[in-house]
Amino acid sequence: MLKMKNISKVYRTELVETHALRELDLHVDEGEFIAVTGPSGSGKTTFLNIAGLLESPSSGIYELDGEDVSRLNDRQRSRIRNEKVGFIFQSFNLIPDLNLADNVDVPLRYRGWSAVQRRRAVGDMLDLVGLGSRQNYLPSQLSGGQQQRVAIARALAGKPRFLLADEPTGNLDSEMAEIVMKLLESINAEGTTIVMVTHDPDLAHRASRNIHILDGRATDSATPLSPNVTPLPERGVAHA
Amino acid sequence: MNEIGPIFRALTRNKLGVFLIALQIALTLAIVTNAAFIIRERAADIARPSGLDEENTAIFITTLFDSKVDQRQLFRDDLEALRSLPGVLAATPTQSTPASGGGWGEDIFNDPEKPSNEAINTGKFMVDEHGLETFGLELVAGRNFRADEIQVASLDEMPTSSVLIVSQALADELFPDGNALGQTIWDSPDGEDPMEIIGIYERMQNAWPHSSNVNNSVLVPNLPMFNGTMMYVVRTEPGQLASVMAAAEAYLSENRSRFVDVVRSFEEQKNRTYSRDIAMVKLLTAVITVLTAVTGLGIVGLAWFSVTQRRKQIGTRRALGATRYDIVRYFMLENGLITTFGLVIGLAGTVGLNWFLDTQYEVGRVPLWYLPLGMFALWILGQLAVLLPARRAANIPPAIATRSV
Repeated sequence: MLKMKNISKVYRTELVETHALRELDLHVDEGEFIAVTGPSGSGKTTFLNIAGLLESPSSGIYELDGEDVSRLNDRQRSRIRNEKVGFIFQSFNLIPDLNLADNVDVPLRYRGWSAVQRRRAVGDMLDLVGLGSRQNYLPSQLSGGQQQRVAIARALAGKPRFLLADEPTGNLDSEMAEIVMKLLESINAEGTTIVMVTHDPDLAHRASRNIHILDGRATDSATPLSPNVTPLPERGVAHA
Repeated sequence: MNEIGPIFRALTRNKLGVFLIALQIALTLAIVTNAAFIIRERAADIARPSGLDEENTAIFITTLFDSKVDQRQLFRDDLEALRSLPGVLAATPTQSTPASGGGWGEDIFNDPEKPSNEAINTGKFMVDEHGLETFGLELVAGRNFRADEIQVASLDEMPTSSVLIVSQALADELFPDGNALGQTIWDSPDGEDPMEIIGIYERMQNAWPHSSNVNNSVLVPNLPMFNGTMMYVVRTEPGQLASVMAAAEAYLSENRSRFVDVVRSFEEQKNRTYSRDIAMVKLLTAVITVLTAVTGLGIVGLAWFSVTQRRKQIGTRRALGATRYDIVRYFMLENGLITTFGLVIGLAGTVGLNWFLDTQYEVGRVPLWYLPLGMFALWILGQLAVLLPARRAANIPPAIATRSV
């Protein structure tokens, strides 16, 4: 469902040219749970941004559900983000002035659903993450783990084809991280494709497949690293 | 897409900030609406026609200091000379001019039996048989003065005129049935000295532009000779005013037995009379300009600050599917809600301020239609003010949502 071919991303200023991604090839099948690992500055976030249509690649082809989305205009990209992609951010990115229901409701309003549809979806998703009774709470009244569960509810509310999770447990203690991971696993078990960026090798191991990014290039866990790629310092991340 | 609910709920969590902006908008509405009303009233007063041919009328005042000079003969000589100047249409002696701020008033009665407190007040102008033409007045009924009806009026001898010509406004007030022409009126309640209305002209203000009966005026056939002061009004052909004024001043100055005190166009005199009103209009216009600019800039500043503070939120909204248009609309809606709240408070403020000004300074009551107009104008101002910050917000890239700082 997600296919990247020769994707490159170059950030240019007057003085500097930074190659964040270099001819990255990647393929994610429907229902997979992919962990994307790599050291800081390796290009993980750029990959996530391009995968989630938050940025456009400088070159290459990106197909999502068989549609080339690498050259869409801003409005088209917004629509696809809204309809097909769910985002889970490391720092939750909940809107502090909105209660939980309104937070979960944000992408649904952009979808144009009716109030009844939205209310039902918001209630269902908050129930799913165990926070159905706290719809009127503000994010500041919740723990970090609870906030991330709200963020997951928000990501799932629009029934996206795949979830992009950027260090979803990065700001959580181990107990909360475990709860969130189990939630993601159960979501994946129900068929939602998940691409998760993580530094944590233990979490990466729980994914069905690992993709390691280094210097803007991806190496699949099943694919041997090229000789000029420095082995990762992180323990346990699967790469040959 | 209806986002008012969440925006409203979010705003209620920042009550102080919202209230302060709304208060500024409310104060702006109250002050701007009342100021605009006062400006309009004053401007209407200033623009109100005096009845004269304003652009082509000049006023000359001289003071005769040589008591040996035959003042009556000097009047005749002056008027003959003035009327013969190239470009002069007409000239008349008088003791006052409309909208000058100073003149003569008289209480008159349409019934000699009426008590003095039922007199009708009017401005009084002494003219000769050229008065109507000089002032540019149009007779709507009756006739002009004849030369033989002109009497000398002085401090020693103040004759009561047997005939007079009145303004339509005065005629209507004296005789509401519309039959003023030919009627007799009196200038004292004792029934002595009756005066006949021989003519009615359409309009001429009295000397006091802020009086309640500003359009009540009367022409009496007198040659005013008071302590050597001699006043002339001269009407010129269009475009000849400046040259006539120069020539007339030169002529009047030739006589060494008097000073030429005033050589002034009617428009200049009117501007002097209305100088406080003009200053008030300028001041209030400046107040409105500054206040709306400050309010507009305040909204821009606060919205700009808000956008800067909420960059990550905006990026998150974009990541979740908001288009640039959605972001612009969000900020416009948010601002619209705050502005509307401020305008509702401002409505009460406007009415309250107007009540205070009317009670204390008799500025009059603001017409009701000012309120929706003022609200609409400020609402548009608010929307325009927030447009730039909203567009800036819309340009925040969605990728900012994944940045850790």
